[in-house]
Amino acid sequence: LRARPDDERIVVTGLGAVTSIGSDVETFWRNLLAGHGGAAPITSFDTSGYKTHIGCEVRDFDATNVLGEHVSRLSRATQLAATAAAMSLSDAGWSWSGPARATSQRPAVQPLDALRTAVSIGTTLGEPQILERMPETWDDWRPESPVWQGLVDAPCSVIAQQVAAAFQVRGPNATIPTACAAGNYAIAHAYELLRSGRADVALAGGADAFSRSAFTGFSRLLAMSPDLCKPFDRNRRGLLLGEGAGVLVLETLAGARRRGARVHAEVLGYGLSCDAYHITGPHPEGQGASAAMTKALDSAGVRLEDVSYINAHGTGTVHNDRIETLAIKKVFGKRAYDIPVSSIKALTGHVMGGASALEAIACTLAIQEGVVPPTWNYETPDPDCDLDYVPNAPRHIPVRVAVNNSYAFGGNNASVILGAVS
Amino acid sequence: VIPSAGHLGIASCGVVSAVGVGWEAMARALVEGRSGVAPAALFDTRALRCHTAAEIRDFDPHAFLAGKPLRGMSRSAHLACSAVSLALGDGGVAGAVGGSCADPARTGIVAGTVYGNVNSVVRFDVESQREGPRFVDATLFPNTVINSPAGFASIYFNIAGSNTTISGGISSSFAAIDYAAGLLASGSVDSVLAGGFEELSQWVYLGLHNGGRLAGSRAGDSENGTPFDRRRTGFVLGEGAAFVRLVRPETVQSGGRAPLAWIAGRGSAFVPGRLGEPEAVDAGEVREAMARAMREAIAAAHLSPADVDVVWASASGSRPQDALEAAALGDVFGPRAEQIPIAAAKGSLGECFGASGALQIAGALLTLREGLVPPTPGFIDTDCVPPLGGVCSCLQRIEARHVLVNAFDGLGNNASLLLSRAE
Repeated sequence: LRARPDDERIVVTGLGAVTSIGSDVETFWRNLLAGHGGAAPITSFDTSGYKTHIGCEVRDFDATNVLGEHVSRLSRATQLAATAAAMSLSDAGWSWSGPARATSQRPAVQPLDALRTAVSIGTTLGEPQILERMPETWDDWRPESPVWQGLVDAPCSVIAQQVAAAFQVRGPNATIPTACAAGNYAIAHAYELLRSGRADVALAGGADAFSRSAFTGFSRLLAMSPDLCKPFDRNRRGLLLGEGAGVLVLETLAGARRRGARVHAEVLGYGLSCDAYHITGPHPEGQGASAAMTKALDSAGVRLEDVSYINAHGTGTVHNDRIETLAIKKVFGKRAYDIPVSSIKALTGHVMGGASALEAIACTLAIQEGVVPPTWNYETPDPDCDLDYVPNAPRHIPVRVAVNNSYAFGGNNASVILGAVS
Repeated sequence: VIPSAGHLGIASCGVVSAVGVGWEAMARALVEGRSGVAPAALFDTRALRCHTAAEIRDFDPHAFLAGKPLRGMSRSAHLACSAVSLALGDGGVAGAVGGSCADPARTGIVAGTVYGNVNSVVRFDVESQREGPRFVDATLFPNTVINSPAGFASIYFNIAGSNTTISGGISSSFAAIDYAAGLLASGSVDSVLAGGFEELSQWVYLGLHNGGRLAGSRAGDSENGTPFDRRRTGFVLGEGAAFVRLVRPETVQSGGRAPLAWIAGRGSAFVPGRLGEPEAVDAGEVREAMARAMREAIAAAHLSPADVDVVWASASGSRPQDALEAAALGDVFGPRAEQIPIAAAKGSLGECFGASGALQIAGALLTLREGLVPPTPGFIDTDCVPPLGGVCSCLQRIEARHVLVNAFDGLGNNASLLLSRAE
C-alpha cells in the first residue's frame, strides 16, 4: 500500500442501514451471516397482473422514531436515507443541531461543524412512489389534486437536501442519480470532497424506495426471479427487487484520530467507467466492469494479491453474473480463483441506488469482524460462473482489502475499495 | 486573461433552447429580444390559471442524431443528446453537428437534472396500469432511470471515460461543472462534456401551478414572468439542454485553439430547509447564502467584486427569489449593484431547472465574446432593493473581461461561477 499522509486518508467512522433484513446495522449483519432473507409477498401495491409476486420490502420500519412528527411530509426514499444517516452519525459519535434524534446511547464526542459537513446520496429513481400515485387518480384527475404538489416537492435532489435538513448541515450537497451503481458513485464523490478539503465530514450512501415502475420494468425485461434470488447459481432466474438505504460517515483519518473516533475501515480508492455500449445490457466482454476494477486498484495503490474479498454486484440475472465473473477473471487472471466473491443480494434483493452503499457496509463489517458474508441460495455450479462464491456459510478469514462492485443501466460502472486501517 | 491552475477552458458549447437550437441561434434571439415564452403546445392548459411555457418547438432530434434509433428515448434524452452533439461539433460556438468524440477513453460526461425522468416514470407506470404490466412497452423502461439521457449520449457519441448524472436543484449544471473539475484535476480524463437537461413536463407544470409558483398561477394575477420587474407574478416553466466541453488550461496551451472562455472561479452555498417542509424559506439565511456563493466564486478567481463587469442573474420572475437575489447583489457589490449591467435571460428561456445553469453559461459567452448584454424583454421597472439599474429592456454593450453567473435555488443549492474572457 502506498503511504499517504493522514489528512489524505479517508476512513469510515459511522454505519447506518435500513433494509428488508433489518432496520439497523446489527440486525442487517446478523441476518447476512445467518441467511435470513427479506423476500416476501409484495404489499406496497397489487401484483395480481404480474407473473411474479415476491420482493424485499422494508417492513419493521417507523421513521417517526428518528425523524419525529416531520416525517409525514417526507417521501419514502428520503425517510429511509435520513434514518440511515441518523444511525450512521450516532455510530460515529457525532452530535448535531437538527431535528433528527440520535439512535444510540454512545456518548457523542463532538458536535458537527455544519458548514463543513457534506451530503452525497445516490439513487436510481428518486421518489417514484409519489409519481406512482398518479394512475389511481388518472380517470378523474383534477388539476387541484394535492398529488401534483407532492410531485414538485420531491424531485430526486430532495433526498440529499432533506437529509441535510434533518441534521441542519450546510456543506456541499448533491444527489447522484446514477442508477444501480449510485451508492458507490456517491461514496466516490464524498471521497473527493474530503480529499480536496471541501468538507471535513461526509454523509455518503444511497437509497431507493420500493417502486412499482421498477418492478414492472425488470419484469418486462424478464430479469425478475419468481422465487429466490440465486446469484451465480446455474439455475438463477433473475433478481428480486428490494428497497432500503445505507449511509456511511466518512472523514479524514487525521480528523478521526484528533477527535478519538472509532475507525471501522478505510476507503482506499475507487474506479468509475462507462460501457458506452447499451442502455440496459452489460458490455459482452465486461469491458467497463473490468476497467472500473482496474482503475480502482490503481487509485488505491493495491496489488492484485492484496485483495482478500470481492463483494459482487451479483444481481442473480443470467447476464450480470456471467459478465461480472468474466470481468473479475480478466482483471485478476488465475488469482481470481483464490479470491472469495459473494453477493448479498440473495437476501436483500436489489436495492438499486442503495445497493452498493449497503454492500460497502457489508465490506466494512467483513474487514472489521474477519468474516466474509456468503452467497446464500447457491446450489448448482454454473460452468460460466466458476469462481469461489462462498456458498451458504460465512467464512472466517482475515479481510484486509475488499473490492465493492456495482454496475448500472446507462453503462455506469463503479468499484470502491475498502481496507483495514493500518 | 492569463489562465491559472484552477481554471477550466470552455472548448465548445452546444445549446438546445426555446429561443433557438445551436449557440448562434440562441445568441441572436437573445440579442434581438425574442422570447421563447408562448402558450404551451405540448399539453392542454385550459383547466389551469396560466398557459405559457418556454417550450422548444418544431424540434427534430434526427437533425442531430442522424442514423440513431430514437424511438426508445425520452424527450429529455433527445434534448441532452442533441446538445452534446452540438458541443462535439466543430469546437466553435457555431456548432456544426458532431459524430463521435475524439478520444473515447479520455472523455467524460457529467449531466445535471432535476425533474428529468418525471414524465417517463408517469408514462411508464400509467401505461402499465392501463394496458397491464405484461403488455407495457419495455423500451420505455430505461427512460425512468434518471441517468438514461447521459447513458444514451455515452453510447451514441462513444464517451467511455466517465459518466455521471448529478442533481442539486437549479444549480445542478454547476454541480456538474464542479464534478467535471474534479475529474480533470484527477487526470482520469482530458475532456468533459458538462451541463444539464430538462424536458417540459405537464406534471411538473401542474405541480408548480398548484403551488402558486408559475407566473399567473395564483387567482387574480396576470401572467408576467419578467425577472426583477415590479409586475412579476412568478416564473415561466421552460425546457432545454446545454453542454460545454471543458478542458484543462495545459490542453489549451499545448497547441489547442484558444477556448471560448475560462471558468475562473466556482462558489456554492447550501441552505438546509426545515425537515418535511422543503418550501419553508428563511429569507435572511437565503440572502446570506446567495452572497456567499457569489463572493466565493469571485475570490476563487483571485478577483474582487470591482473586477466583475456583468452579472448573468438567476432571477426568473419569482417574487421572493428575485428580491433576495437583488438584495444579495447589493451585499456583494455595494452601491455598484445599482449600475452593473445585468442579464436576466430566464424571462426569455424560462426556468429550466437542471439545464438553467448551463444555458446561463452559454449566454454569458455572448457577453464575453461580443460585448453584448441581451435585453430583458418586457422589463419596465423594479421594486427590488437595491433598484438594479443594470436591468434593461434594451441591448447593452460593454467590453467585459469578467462575468459572474448565478444559479440559485434560494432554499437548497446556490452556486455561482466566475467566467473570464479568453483572448
